[in-house]
Amino acid sequence: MVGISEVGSVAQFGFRSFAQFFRHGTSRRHLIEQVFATGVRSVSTTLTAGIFVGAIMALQIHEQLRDFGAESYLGGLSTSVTVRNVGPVLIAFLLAAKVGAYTSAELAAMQVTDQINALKCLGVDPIRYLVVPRMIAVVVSSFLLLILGLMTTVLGGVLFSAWNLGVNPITFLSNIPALVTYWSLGVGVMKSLVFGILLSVICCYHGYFARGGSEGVGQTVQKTAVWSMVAIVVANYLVSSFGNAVQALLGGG
Amino acid sequence: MIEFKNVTKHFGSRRVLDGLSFEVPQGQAAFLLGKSGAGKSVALRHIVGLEAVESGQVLVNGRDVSALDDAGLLEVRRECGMVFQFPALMDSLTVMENLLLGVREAEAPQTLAADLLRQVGLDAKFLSFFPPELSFGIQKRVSVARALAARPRVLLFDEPTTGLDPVASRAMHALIRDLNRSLGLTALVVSHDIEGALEVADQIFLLEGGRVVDQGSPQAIRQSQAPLTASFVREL
Repeated sequence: MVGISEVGSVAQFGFRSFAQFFRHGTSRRHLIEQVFATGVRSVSTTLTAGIFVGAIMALQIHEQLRDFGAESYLGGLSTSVTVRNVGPVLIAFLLAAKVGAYTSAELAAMQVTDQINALKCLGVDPIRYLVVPRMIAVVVSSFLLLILGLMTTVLGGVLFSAWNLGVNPITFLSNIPALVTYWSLGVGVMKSLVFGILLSVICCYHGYFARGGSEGVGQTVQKTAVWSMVAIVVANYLVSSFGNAVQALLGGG
Repeated sequence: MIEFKNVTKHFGSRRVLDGLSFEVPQGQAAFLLGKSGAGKSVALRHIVGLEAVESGQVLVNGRDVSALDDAGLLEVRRECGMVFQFPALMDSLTVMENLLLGVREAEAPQTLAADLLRQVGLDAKFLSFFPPELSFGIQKRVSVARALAARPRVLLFDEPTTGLDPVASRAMHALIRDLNRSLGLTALVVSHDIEGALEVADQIFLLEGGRVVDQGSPQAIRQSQAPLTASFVREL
């Protein structure tokens, strides 16, 4: 019951913060600072992860296809699975550990050192001043990094297949349009957006309500990581199911 | 004037304030002394609404804090400048930006900020610095200056000398006394430093178990036979 009530609190906090953003906007300076802190600094990590996620998927799927003599489908199949399912989840996990942990730890440190209370005493709304720019920055950064990461997985698949499996890059790429539909790409993009929103709300919530000194900051980061990963897995299932249901309703795709 | 009338507060099953009652008249400097966990900081946070009043009343210049709406609470917060145990400055903002955080409109922001620094004995050269570039003592002074920005009538200090060396601690006590005397501000200081309290306070309250167990002027406190008070005075 406590868990369910906390899910409600997280949702309420998210709605309140996004409502503040749509009502009052946010400081462009703070937003740019946060996008730099959370997004730009995570590009290299995302690119590295993307390359290897693509490589792993190509390796695994190649083994399965080889048994059926269907290696020519490697490009399409590995890209489809990666873009639609595995890629967003793995890259979102990585971002939860990097972007989410950074943001929650920063807010938690502000909470336990009374910076948030100081703002309240000065008549400054800490949600508007601290949380909104971070939340929007995490959504924007996560979304863009996920898209970048997904594109990199394709590159990783092409490079690994050419280097290690002897698959011609042209063959790999030319097979992609046959199996990767616009619908698959749409689902991948939708997941990136949903994961970004979840990540932003969870990390800001736990950071904002941190308690208990430096130990509390550590616990906050741990909670953020666990909550984010569970939320990403659950959301992955829900968005996939929703995508499949809509696709079936529209008659294929 | 600040008044606590029979204020009680629990954190879970633990009673932190147990019928706390005391009053600090306008313009006086008062110290809340006590050991860790006595409820001093919790009491202070009630004044600016950072803790909700569970039962009893907290009055700031006659207004019951628990009965105020957001606008009323904002007024009380502007009347009461709060200085926290940590400097609580925003690391990504310059000293000047930190000082002006709560200032809605200022005709000459730079002059106002420099004036605030001067009031706490700091040079205007610090305006362009970022907090991490300053010593802890200077950061604490900047946080006092920031609390002065809204021209409060009351200054609340939560453990103002924590983390400061003896020289900086004496300077902080002198600053509290100067602000109290020269600006006529009511000062309420949470501390466990009896030496500073005897030097600065008009009135000292000793807290134990969330209530006042002894109180009086510095002279009366020096001569008090109350066990907690005597244990503090023996430290001198």
